[in-house]
Amino acid sequence: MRSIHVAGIGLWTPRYPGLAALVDDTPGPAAASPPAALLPPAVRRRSGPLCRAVAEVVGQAAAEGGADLSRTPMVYGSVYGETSAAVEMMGAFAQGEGLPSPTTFHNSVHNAPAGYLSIATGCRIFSPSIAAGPETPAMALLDAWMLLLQRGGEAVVALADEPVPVPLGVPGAFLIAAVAFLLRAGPGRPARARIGAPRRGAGAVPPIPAELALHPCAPAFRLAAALARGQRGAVSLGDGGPDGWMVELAEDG
Amino acid sequence: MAVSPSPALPVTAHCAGNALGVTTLSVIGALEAGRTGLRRSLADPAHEMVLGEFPCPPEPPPAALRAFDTRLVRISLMVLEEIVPAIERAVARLGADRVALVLGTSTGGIRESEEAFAAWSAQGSLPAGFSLVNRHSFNGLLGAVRGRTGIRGPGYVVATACSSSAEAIATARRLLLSGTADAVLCGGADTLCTTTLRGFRSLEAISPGGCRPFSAGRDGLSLGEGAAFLLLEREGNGPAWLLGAGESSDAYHMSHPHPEGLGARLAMRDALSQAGLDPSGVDHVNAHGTGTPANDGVEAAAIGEVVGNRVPVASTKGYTGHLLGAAGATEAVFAIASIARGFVPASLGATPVDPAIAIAIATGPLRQRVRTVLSNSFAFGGANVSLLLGAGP
Repeated sequence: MRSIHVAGIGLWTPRYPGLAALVDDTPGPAAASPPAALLPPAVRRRSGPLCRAVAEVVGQAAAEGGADLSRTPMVYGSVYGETSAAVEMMGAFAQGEGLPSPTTFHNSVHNAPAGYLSIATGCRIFSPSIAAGPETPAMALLDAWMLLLQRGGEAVVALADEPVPVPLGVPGAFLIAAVAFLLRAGPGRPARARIGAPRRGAGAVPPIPAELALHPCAPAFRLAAALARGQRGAVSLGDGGPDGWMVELAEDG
Repeated sequence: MAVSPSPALPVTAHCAGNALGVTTLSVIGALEAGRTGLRRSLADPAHEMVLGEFPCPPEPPPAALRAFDTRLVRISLMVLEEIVPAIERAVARLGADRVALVLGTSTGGIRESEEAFAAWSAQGSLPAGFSLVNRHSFNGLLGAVRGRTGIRGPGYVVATACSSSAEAIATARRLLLSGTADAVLCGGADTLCTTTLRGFRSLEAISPGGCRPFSAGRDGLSLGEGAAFLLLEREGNGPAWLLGAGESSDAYHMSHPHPEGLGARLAMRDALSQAGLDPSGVDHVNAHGTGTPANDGVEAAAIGEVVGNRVPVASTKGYTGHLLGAAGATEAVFAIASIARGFVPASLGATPVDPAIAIAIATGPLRQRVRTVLSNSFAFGGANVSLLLGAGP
């Protein structure tokens, strides 16, 4: 079996400007919007906030690991997707015969971030977009692990959700946030850790700030915190119990 | 460098339900007979259009699964029922943890969310029973199918718009070839909803009179709803085998295909390469063929370049409508029927074929030996999947 390495991490939340701030729980001033420099301006203008958050964290993870994104597929996981676009359309429908704008319509599909990123990077390798409720981070990592087993090279796993607008969601239930992991099959430049395939089992539940603990993809932020702290051993991708999913982190090399 | 073909995987059970019928037998019977399931409809009261609606009111789920009750779940469980015994046998034989679940959908429970939003707009409160987690989100479909089948292995929804369930099958292949699972229930479902009816209308992609893929008179797509499922295993036997699942991204535009069909060609060639099959070995192509002027022209050129202009090609969207997230799995079931029963369905509505299209569109049904079928699914975001199914490994 190939060894899989975590070669880079990207993080964006409105309140934690980087991994160190997340680990130390030292929030900064609120940021309005992710820079998403990966996206050309014309693409950035058309994309939604969740897509821009994904572009930002993928860019950060790729920069740390030196990945060529034109040859790096992305596995994108989100529990709810870009619900702001979906709810905006519902508002138009409530006006009778209203039609959505074409851009809002195609921004509402779950794989919109994967589509926009492929346009920005020119990557023609398929990028899956998935959802699995509370198991979304575990399944996204599993999907990426299988992709790397099949193709080798690198893959970036991005997990993100934005607040679900009223009336479908509860105001303030969680904030928009995204995290990405650049994974590499086989040896290469030094990486943060080796990571095993997700499997059922118990593991540690690394602490993260309370506002991120409520995020639908919270286990992914916990994994990022564990990697930033240099933690080793079993890390839970759920609530820590034996019926959940976990990954083993080990020294790189 | 020569690439060794990957192992073929048997499809040990399959089913489909849509506008053509509730059971696989009735669906395939209509396909063979050349009967369309498309009808004029006022599903969106603001705009009459031709749609492929599910042919009966789908039954509510069992009481234990009522928390997940949506039209998506109702249609899915109703269609799935005929292969539940085969799934239960796989679970008993292999262990529930070794059977995985990968489903494709593009809209999930958004139909109920639209209704909930409308109720909130009118009355100021959401309807009783509405649940963001169990009904709106894709997780509801997973929960319902897990509950009905007892599957406990890895489970997730793949949502790549119109290629969702084809990608679910490609993902199932990876789960099996990586040794992560010994069997995978894969497939997909989608329902008609205002979001897609009006969304595609906003793109000016809806045909006023019903879709006519590859025809000189084509003027857009028709939407439909339904579900289809395949049980893929590492070992076993069945009427057809998954030989390859090619995937690519256009990296071009969110809702228009690459003008030279680059992504489509990459996906088809990827599938053939995985199987180690020469393009001359393809007996039939089930095209994505939505009926929009741009998409059909680009796909036809890509098919011609990859497998040549003599292979019979049909789009089955004229029977079912475009099933979006359920299209790939449904058309995989059609491919299995072509292989098992020796026929190529007529590409309904194609006559007169667009003279600019040079490939061999099957304007009538063909009785012939079919050993391999390429089945294309292309989607928003340029997410392309081409499945290769065959009569044997």
